[in-house]
Amino acid sequence: MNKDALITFHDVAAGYDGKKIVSHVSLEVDRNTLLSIEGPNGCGKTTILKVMLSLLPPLHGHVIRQPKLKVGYLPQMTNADLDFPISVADVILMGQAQPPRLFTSRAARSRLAELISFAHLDSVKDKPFGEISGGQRQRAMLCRALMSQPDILVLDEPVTYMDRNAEATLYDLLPRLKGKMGIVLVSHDHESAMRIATQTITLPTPPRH
Amino acid sequence: MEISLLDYAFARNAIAAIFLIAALSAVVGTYIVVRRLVFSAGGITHASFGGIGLAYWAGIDPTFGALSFAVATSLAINYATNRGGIRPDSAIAMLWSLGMAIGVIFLSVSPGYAPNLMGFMFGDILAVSHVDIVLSAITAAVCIVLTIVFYRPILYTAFDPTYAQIANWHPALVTTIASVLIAIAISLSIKTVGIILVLSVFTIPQSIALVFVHSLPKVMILSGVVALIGSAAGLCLSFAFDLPSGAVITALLSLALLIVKLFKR
Repeated sequence: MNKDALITFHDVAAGYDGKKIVSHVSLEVDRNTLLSIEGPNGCGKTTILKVMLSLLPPLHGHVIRQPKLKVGYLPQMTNADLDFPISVADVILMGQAQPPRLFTSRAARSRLAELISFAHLDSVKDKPFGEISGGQRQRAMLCRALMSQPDILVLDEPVTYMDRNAEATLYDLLPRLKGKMGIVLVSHDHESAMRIATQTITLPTPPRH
Repeated sequence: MEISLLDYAFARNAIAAIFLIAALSAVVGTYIVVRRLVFSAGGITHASFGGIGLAYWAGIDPTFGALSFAVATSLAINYATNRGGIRPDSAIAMLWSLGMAIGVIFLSVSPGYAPNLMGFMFGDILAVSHVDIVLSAITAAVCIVLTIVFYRPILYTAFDPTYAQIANWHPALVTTIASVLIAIAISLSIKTVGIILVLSVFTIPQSIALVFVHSLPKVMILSGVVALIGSAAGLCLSFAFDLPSGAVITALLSLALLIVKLFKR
């Protein structure tokens, strides 16, 4: 067993209402891991992420987390309300580890500035979130996930709604985070994921009921 | 001796009422619009008619009837949706009609004539009492203070409830407290603008503000200003031409929205 492991799955099964969608998953993530989870639609990729995010308890097996593990999460684009009146900077600030306060601390402001420059969002930081491009939005969501300086970054099909250019920009940013945090990536795009991943898990097609 | 309009309690109450309705519209209305709760707010508003009918029948102040039905409806919508496995829009429609039905049943068995009924349906700003003003002022103060203190949890829960859940900011609690405050704010505004028209004051100013500004605090401030101007102008016109205040306010706000949309694309 790897003593640097941030999170370890031992023979985990997960699903909903007692029904297993995915079984026999074992994995280990440390700060140098970029794990790509692959598999056909409905094979339980997102279900595994939900267990990682503590949104779903495992039905079987063990999940061991380092104490006080901070997990950053980049969801699929579809969750956000694009008509909502909120600036790009405010979206990124959502990721603060501290409970949100009315006034932003100096530390959070300097972290915000660092992330905005990291993700090339300087020109749009004060714009409404709904008015920037899809790629910029996804990079802003990445910054939100990174705001709390997480130990693990979880990305659920982050490039689904992005064009090739935006996708390449995002995939160029991820390897720069290696060593600072473990990265877990669910992606349909096998080739791009393979290029940056250090480990790959392919989930089997689920049995039909 | 010269007598000014402000010497009359009803006129002072009417003026206080439009300031308070503008404050409630700014905070509560903006929350309703950005969280897409307009249909839910419509359900709460109409269901409060049940409380008005019940209050007439029991001989108590209809404002309290409306208030209790509105709060109960908002909680019932939350419960039916989260625990009862009923789709939100169906739960809202059911409670909307049930409240109206209860109101009609109690009014039909109440002895005599219900004189202020039209006022409740379409608004009668001159019927606003001192007690109504005090209750609205307390509600507006509570809403404004909570919005300032819990600005970021409210903003984040409204924008992305899933993320708020992951970050453990108690989005369900924020949503429940907000829906109770929406119910209180709406039911206290019914006397001024009426059941049928109250939603206009809580949604049209926001639609106008969103054309010009794109951050939550700015939308709140601008929609409050628009609601105040619209209500004040509506009140003046309704005095001048002896028209129902709620209808004039709604017509003016709708006209303003139309003009803004036509000229600012």
